[in-house]
Amino acid sequence: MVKIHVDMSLCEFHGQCVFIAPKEFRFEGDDLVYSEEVDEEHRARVERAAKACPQLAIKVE
Amino acid sequence: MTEISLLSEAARACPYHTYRQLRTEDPVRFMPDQNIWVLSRYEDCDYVLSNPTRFTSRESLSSANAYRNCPAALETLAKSRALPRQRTLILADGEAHQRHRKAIQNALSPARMLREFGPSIEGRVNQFIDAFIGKGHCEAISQYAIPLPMALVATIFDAPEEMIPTLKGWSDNFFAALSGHVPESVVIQAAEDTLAFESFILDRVAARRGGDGTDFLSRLTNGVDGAEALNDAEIVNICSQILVGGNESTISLLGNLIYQLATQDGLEAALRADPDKIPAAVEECLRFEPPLQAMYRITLQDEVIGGKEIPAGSKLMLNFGSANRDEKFYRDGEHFDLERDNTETLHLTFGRGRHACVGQTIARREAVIAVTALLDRLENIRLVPGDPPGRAGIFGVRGFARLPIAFDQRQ
Repeated sequence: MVKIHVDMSLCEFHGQCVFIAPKEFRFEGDDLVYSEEVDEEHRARVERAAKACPQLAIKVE
Repeated sequence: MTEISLLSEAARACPYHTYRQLRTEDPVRFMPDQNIWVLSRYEDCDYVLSNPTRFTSRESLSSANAYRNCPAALETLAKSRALPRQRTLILADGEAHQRHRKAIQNALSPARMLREFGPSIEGRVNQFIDAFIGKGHCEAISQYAIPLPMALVATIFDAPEEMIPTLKGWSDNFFAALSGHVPESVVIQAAEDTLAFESFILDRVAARRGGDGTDFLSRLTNGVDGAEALNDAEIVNICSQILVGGNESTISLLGNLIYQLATQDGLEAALRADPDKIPAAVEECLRFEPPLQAMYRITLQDEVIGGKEIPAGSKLMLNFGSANRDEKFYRDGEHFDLERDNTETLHLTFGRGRHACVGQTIARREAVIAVTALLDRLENIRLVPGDPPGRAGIFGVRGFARLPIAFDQRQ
């Protein structure tokens, strides 16, 4: 499994992750909601979303 | 080693050939004339941006501090109502920077901004187009690219529309003085404008202090929704960054996009056929022509970058214009390619990490709205024979001062 953690003290809601990996990240109102665990097959997409985060707030394990 | 200058006339007209030369021949190069290290590879720029504790942002905006060398400007600035001056946001590090960032995040939340102002921006762009569409031609910078972000900046400061030319004049002078390489008279004028701007902001701050308003200045002044209140000096300094950052680079982005539409065969048709590609065109234009070609950092300790030993206290120029075309990350990066997947390697135009552009989401949205409206109402957008575009003259800026275009009105 791929573990996702977003440091919400850094997140500024630029939404690049939502754009790149909409299945794992989405906005609900003004909040960012994300899957904490996803299948290994989605790793590449999730890592790309983490790399795209302007604030480097997303950690993927 | 080969002579390479970023200040030559050719490099200032089009820097990308010089960048390629730097990237391939000497990607971490010391320029003795400017006493600066130029980093031209993606990896090296990314490394510096991602390590804010090793590289300070205290002079992130310019290769030179114009005010410091101008006694008359310093004398004017000493009359400020908001002393001591404070380095904020883009010019601050560590905890102070994070405090400012939090306050801005609250006051300028992209989600709220787009919800509150999105529809009015869409209305405004159509008014700007109404003003010139009947003529079949326009000067795209003054009639379209400037009015859009300036309307938004005025809204943020709750300034009346009549103030827009004044705000823009201040912004232009601040920006010119920041960039360095300008006559002393410009620096002196910018110092005087700093005091005028300060009064404009502090009068508004005073009117809001202790109130229950939720607009941008109220949020900075009183701290709304759990955000910390900032002091006068911090607010003034942040607001000058919002003023300049909120219009200057967006104007360049819009001009660069319109230039691509006017000069690139098939782009207009491709986007009209599939408007969902407009965000991709905006992203590719951001990569291809970063409005701000570079940002700056100073080393806090001795560093080795790209095999070069760089002593503590050295100024680094992060050459985004070059990094965004780095062969290692971008295939055929010297070409504008609508089909490029820019999520594979995110361009550095907005920076990365702690200091990444705080207005990037709003800027992207403004650009998409602006292009959508143009494509909706104009077609066959083209340059005007005999009236060529004029480049912005400020070092490090990639954009246009004038961009005359002609078009047909869509039926």
